[in-house]
Amino acid sequence: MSNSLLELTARQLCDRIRSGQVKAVEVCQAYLQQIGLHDRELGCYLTVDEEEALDQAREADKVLARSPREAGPLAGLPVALKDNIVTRGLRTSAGSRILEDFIPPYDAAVVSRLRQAGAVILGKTNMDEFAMGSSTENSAFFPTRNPHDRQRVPGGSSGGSAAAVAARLAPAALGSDTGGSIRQPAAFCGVSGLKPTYGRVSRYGLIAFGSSLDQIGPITRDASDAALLLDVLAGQDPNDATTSARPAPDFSEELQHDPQPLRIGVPRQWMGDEAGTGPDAEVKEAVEAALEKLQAQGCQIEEISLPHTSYAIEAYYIVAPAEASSNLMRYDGVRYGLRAENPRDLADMYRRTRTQGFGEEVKRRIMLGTFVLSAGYIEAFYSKAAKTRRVLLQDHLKAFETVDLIAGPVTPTPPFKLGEKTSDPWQMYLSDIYTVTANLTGLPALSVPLPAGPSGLPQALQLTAPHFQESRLLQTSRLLA
Amino acid sequence: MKISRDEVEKIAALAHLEYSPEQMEEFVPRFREILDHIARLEELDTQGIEPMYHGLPGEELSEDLREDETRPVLTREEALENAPEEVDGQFRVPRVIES
Repeated sequence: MSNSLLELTARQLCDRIRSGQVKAVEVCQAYLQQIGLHDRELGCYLTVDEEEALDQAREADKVLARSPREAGPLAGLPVALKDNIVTRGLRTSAGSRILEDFIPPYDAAVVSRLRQAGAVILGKTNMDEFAMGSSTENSAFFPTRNPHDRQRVPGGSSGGSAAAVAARLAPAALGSDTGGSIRQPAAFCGVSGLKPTYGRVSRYGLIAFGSSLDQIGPITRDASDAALLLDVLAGQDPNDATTSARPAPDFSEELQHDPQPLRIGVPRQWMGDEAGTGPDAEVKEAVEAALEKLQAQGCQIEEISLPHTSYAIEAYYIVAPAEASSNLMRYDGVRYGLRAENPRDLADMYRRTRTQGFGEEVKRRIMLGTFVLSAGYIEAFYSKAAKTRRVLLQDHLKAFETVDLIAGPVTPTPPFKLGEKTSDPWQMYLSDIYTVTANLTGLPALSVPLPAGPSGLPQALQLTAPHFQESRLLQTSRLLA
Repeated sequence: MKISRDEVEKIAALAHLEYSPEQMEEFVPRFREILDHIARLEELDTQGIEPMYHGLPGEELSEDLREDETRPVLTREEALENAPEEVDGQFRVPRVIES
């Protein structure tokens, strides 16, 4: 019984729990057992909240027995959370030594919403430290392995969440996406990963990396599960002034409708018709096969141009570190987190706390951000990058005058091997070449799992829509299911 | 990009980070390499373009502010739960002002 439970989607689990066919406790136990069996090898979780999860599951069963009407839409559904989303009373480390023992005194907005909807929090998933990385190898604790090939990375920075969903260690998970950190690991692990429009989901309680880029989103098995979670997560939040006042639609309901035949634009700059910008052959083949499938379903595929797309990665690696250097100034050893031992004075305490507490990549990005914001360089770097953002947005808005969606690869290569890119930061940064644009422009984007290529490794298609058109992404991805 | 080691040292001081001389040896050339990559933005003509600092232009803060009323906040106990060192309900830190 318990193993077949692991094969059900989140939506199927919710339905069966609600109809009484299965108890929330049984579902929770099945997942905890699976974590016990496989997580030592995969390293998806930093913290598993066994006792509390079982309590929450029992509570969901109680509410359902008393009055199913009172039960929330996710009653009894186990969910894993990336460890940069704060959870009251449950250790939240952001994958960093500097927050190794941090027990948050409050819940992130998304966590409050999940709890209100009746979800069960299984635990906190591994990630690149402070979400800085593309392979989860920058976790201060241990790397996560790709469930499809243990020698390969699960992608990052939400590698733990993506690997957990792929390996059936969670039916659904949340990640965060600053430059592709939901979509890229979803692609590497063969699951669905959605970065909503900037401002669609509250960032209150998300440990900040790049405040104008960060967005929390669902990592799930399919589009229908993404809609199920987004229905709970989306909406304005008084605690996050950057959330949009637009009312969120009923994503699950909108997913019932067949998509209108769409015009889909494929940027020629993403498919390698311009020197050195294209993905590797296997990725290209998988993307082309997916586009043919969409065409067979009545979509119109046309080539478009995003002329400035080749500047996105440079702009991103200025804006993101700049915002990060500012956000990470709060880790000073004063109020929470690590404090260096026996500081001589205040300056010594700041310096040694940060030097001991942060890993190499986080320090590199703080340095980069401090540099691009420093006197004499801010105009040439930070302001220039901010203008580039506007140019990229204009490119996209122009493209959306003629097409409904933009499609292309998520990553330039299939999942790479552990250690393959750790010695060359810029090579690692280039893993984000197709994903950073959606963060710089605030556009919603989805990583859709595709059949494995000849290497047997997962493949994916990225879809980008105009602002607030998440439903269009989800509907279209169903054509590929 | 010709950034000197002294300049990198200065950035580290601003960022409250410390690199040993050996670490600097390794760090500086890498750092220069990344700066060379991002400096490529210079090629792009952004004459007359308005910079974009918000994640979604047009959705910037709305004008309607909430009533100026107190709302529940963390209690003193909660705020101090994670304190590395506390004394009398306050954060204890090394001396700030020289005596």
